[in-house]
Amino acid sequence: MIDFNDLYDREIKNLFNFGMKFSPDREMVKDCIQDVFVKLYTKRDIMEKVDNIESYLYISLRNRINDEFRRNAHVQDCEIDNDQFITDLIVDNDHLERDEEFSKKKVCTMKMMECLSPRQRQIVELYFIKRQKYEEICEIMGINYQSVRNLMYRSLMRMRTNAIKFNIAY
Amino acid sequence: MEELNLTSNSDSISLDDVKKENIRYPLTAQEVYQLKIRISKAITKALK
Repeated sequence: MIDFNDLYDREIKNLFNFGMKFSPDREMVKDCIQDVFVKLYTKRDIMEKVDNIESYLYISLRNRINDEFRRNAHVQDCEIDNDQFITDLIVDNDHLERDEEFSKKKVCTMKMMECLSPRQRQIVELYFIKRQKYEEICEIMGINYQSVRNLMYRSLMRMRTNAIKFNIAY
Repeated sequence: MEELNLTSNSDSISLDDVKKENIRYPLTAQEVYQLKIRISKAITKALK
């Protein structure tokens, strides 16, 4: 019998820390943790058969966050809200905000990123903005190493093509 | 080291590594409590 109280108390801090690797949005990570626990509890009869419930918890959270990311990226695409996306991308580089070329670079980046799919944007953000290693990106995106390399290659090729198209000197 | 492969994806996550990591994004005691209450309410709602 799974002791959910105990499971929560033991894992919540590590689980939240793990979830935050995928998204800077604390509330979104909390929502996803909530969904995972609700699913776990409502399907507890099946879960009794899972060998390692803790592992299931972490992987379920990763998958749940990835689902949420894809859903949000799709919504963003529908709204063509690239400005917000790029703002989010550059938010870590606070020093750039004081740079007089910030606006120019932002516009250029927006143009280069416009053609990317949500997954391509995610990998570019993870690698170039959040400075994640390929191995970490594998874990975050739930794909293997070669797929990460392929996705990165295609993303950069599309950005390069777009840069040429718009005659962007970045 | 415990290696897991529980999803449809081919990669695995090392649970040991995850647990050994330093907490970079801490939850306050209040957040831990509030989230627990939220989950409890959500479970109750889901079971109705």
